[in-house]
Amino acid sequence: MNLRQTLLTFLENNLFLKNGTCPICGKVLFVTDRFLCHQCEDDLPIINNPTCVRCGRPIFRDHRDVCNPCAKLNLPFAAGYAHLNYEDAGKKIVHAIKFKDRPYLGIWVGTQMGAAIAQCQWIDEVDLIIPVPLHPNRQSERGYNQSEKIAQGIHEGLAQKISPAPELTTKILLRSRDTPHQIGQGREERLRNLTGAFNVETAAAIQNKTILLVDDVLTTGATLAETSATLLEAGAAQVCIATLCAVTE
Amino acid sequence: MKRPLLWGFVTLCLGIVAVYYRFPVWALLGFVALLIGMPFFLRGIKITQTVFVLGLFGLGAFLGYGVFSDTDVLENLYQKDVSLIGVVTDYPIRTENRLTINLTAKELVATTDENNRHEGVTGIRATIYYPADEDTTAEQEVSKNDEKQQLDLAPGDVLLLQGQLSQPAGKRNPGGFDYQLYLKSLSIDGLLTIEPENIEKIGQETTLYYQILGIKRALENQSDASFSADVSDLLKGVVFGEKNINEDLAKRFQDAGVTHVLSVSGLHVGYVFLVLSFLLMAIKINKRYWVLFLAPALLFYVAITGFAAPVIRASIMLLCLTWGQGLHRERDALNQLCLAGLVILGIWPAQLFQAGFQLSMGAVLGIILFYGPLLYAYEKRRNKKRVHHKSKPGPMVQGLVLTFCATVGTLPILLYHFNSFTLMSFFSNLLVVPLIGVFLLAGIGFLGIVSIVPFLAPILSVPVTFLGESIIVVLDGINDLGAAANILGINRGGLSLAETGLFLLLVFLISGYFYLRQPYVRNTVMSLALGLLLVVLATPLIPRNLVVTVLDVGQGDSILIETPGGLTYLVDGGGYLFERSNRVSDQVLYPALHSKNIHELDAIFLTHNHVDHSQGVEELIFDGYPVKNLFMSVQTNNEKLLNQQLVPVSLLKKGSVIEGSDGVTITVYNPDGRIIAKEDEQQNNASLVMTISYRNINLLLCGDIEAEVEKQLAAEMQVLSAARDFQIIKIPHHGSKTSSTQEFIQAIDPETAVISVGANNSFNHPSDEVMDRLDEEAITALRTDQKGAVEIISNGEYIDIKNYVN
Ligand SMILES: [Zn+2]
Ligand SMILES: [Zn+2]
Repeated sequence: MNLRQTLLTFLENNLFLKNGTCPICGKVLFVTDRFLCHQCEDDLPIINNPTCVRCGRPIFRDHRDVCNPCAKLNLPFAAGYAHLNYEDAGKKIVHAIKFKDRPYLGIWVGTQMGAAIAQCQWIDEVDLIIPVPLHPNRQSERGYNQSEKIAQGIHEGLAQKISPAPELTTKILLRSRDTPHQIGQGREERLRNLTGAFNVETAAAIQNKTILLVDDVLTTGATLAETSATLLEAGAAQVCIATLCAVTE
Repeated sequence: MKRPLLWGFVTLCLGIVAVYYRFPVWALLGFVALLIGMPFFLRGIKITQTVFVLGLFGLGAFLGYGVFSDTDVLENLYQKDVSLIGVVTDYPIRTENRLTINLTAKELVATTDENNRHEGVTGIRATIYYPADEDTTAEQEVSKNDEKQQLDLAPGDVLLLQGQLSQPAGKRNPGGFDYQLYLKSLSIDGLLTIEPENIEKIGQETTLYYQILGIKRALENQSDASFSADVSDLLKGVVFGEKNINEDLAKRFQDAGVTHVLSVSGLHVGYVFLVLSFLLMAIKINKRYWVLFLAPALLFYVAITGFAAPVIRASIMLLCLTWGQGLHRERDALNQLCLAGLVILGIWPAQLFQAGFQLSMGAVLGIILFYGPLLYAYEKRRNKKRVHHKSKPGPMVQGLVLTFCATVGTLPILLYHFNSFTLMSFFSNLLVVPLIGVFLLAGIGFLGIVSIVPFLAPILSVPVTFLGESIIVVLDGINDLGAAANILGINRGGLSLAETGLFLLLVFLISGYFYLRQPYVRNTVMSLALGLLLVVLATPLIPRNLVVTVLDVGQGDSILIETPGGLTYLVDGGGYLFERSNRVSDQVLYPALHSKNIHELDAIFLTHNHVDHSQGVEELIFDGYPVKNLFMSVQTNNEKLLNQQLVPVSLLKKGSVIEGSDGVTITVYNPDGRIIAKEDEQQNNASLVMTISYRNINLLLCGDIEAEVEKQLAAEMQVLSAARDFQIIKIPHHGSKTSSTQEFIQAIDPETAVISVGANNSFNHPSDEVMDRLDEEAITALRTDQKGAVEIISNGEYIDIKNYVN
């Protein structure tokens, strides 16, 4: 097993590069250690509008604190952070992490997110970082859980700024039902599909804890809401969320 | 260090190049020192990586010495009768009256001297020439059939051969093809010419590879039996990369600029890969294990196509891709390309200089570097004003961008090797590449099914025939269109360093590789581009030298003159005394003109009307090559050229002067008198004798004059030589003993004599007497049969002489 790991690391460094090309524009990256080319990193659609205090989604009319979905559905998040707008470049990054075998890109953006989250006030309350889990079938098909990679990055990013950084755990929350892809479904349908999809393995570990839940994209919030509900039911004190990309309300 | 494979590949190439061009030792050591010093100057370079890169440089040099060693191990055996036992490595190729067999021999022995031998594995290309069948009597027919029966050779056959060993010709002329280097890339060291009776099959070796070739041959025979000659050749070319296909078909692909689809390339491997993936998907194999199925299948395909470099390259890259997908790691195409390059050069270092290898690597590199960025730039531009309904580039745009990128990667290589490029290839690629893909898949399907259920062949062959015929029709259509719009063709020599730099800079610029928002990057790029542009524009304005190139046209004469002011003259065009299938203009003249970037001749001089001087001239003129003037001797009897309306003719005689504004003067000294068509037998003495003078430099061109005319001219030349020194003479009549009299040579008193002569010609030119005479007068003799083309370069004061062999 160790030999296998060594071999894999060797291959990652010398044959399959972690950052061979820019995932957004496709340019070959020759010397840089970063994962995006200069231009694309400059142009990243980082969210800097006023954001929803609950989920981190950008809000355009700034006389409100809470975005439409959060307000309407009373989503159960205590606080939230979203890194990028889910448009051209953001979409390309998520696509690369999810479907193009680029786990390290997830970790890398995660680190950037971690550095940003370290500035948020609510981060001091967070005890645990938990990524939204994938069903084992889906995970073996994809090879890794993209949310877990992003969470790993967030953890590393936080560890550089604050100590002790909240702990990262993937053992507590599991996905028990393989839900179909959510594309092309209405919100109601999604929620119905998701109900009871998650369960908490060791409830004792999260009693009265504040949890940072990590996912790749925040669209309707259905997945995150269901996951949070599961965690809260199991005894968590509150749930904050961090997503790589968020769709504008 | 990022991508040690890339740097390793670069240094391996450098190692081979350094040996090939015989770089001095200090340069090699300096480079090694630079590599060793790298970790101290640049951070992030590990010692192991330096060792790896250094090791590959050493390996490159080592491999280079293996192939391009100083001493040719076969040296002592050339031009001798040798006997050898060899194993046939591929199916022999039969053309009209000859049979070409590639084999490997373990030992070569000179027939006459048993001690003169070479041990060690040697690649040999043997050619058997059958006597031309002019009067085929029944008896001969029978015996010939017998021979053919006996010589139905297959890979693995062990043969006992006896014949004359010779050295393959290197690059002999500007723009010429280096046959020796080409054969080296196929691991062939020597050529053997054998008589039909000196070949005997004495055994049989069986290896897996030979069996695979047997399967291929069986499939090819099936294809021959099911389709018309053209479609069968197309199928064989496309599926197996068979080179033994009719030239006319190959020419049509070449004209359309899509040769690459006919010789198996990465494209074909891609399609085969598609089929295999589809099969693996259908039987639900986990992607993790795909590589275990793909590796043997692709290896089989590599073997069946005869280990062609592009097929190996594509297979390695695709295997890495699937392996990466199995491990869920993103591939890095550049790394994979370098890995493939390392493997190929590790096996055949001489491939580095081959057009096929370079084009294959160049095309892929172009796609890797520019496809993504250009497509992204296009997408961004198109969607600039749209907020919703952003459009994605369609297949048409993708195809265009892909072709553009492949073209960018191959253009400099195409120009360097072939001196020509057609913009039609853009268009034809878009049309032909998808068609070929469908045809390839149909062909593989057909051969696969028919080899299991043979009786389906007649039915299944119908759609494949239809597809094949359509491709040929499309191709002909493209070529007709291309002929109508022949401005789309570019004929020119290789790009200069500055031109290549500017070209690459521009492509990198439009693909957005430079971070222009940073002022210093912007300034550097701008000034670099301006500097290169200036160099490119200013190069033609720099005063040039007078360049006189005595081309190697075999037995015959052809001399190309480029004056400092940019005027171009051709004196004679060479020609073959015995009719050959290939024309001297295609073999020598056009490549030389293209490689020297000459698009038009200011004048052609035909010294006299003998075929070894006139054939090439006639070919150029009647091809419609742009020529401003045709100058002939007043005593010429070439009716064809006198009566043509394509180029104005002037007849020259003693006293005629052609003077350019740049100071190069051509003066005629022979013949004298009125216009009269002399008979063929008297044509030699009707030759134009001309001096070329540029400042202090004087050259004398003598045509084929003989002793009689030499005697007439001697006194005059003596005076001339006293007034202004002659440095170089083109010896009259290829060094025949009936010319170059001592009196004449002494009168001219040159330092160097150039003799334009064919190797082993039937006239025994140049004669020993003439060579002795030159030796006595201490005149350096340069023979085109030994030196290849001889290039005389002068600024009017000094002369520099360059020759093309070594
Ligand atoms: Zn980029
Ligand atoms: Zn919200």
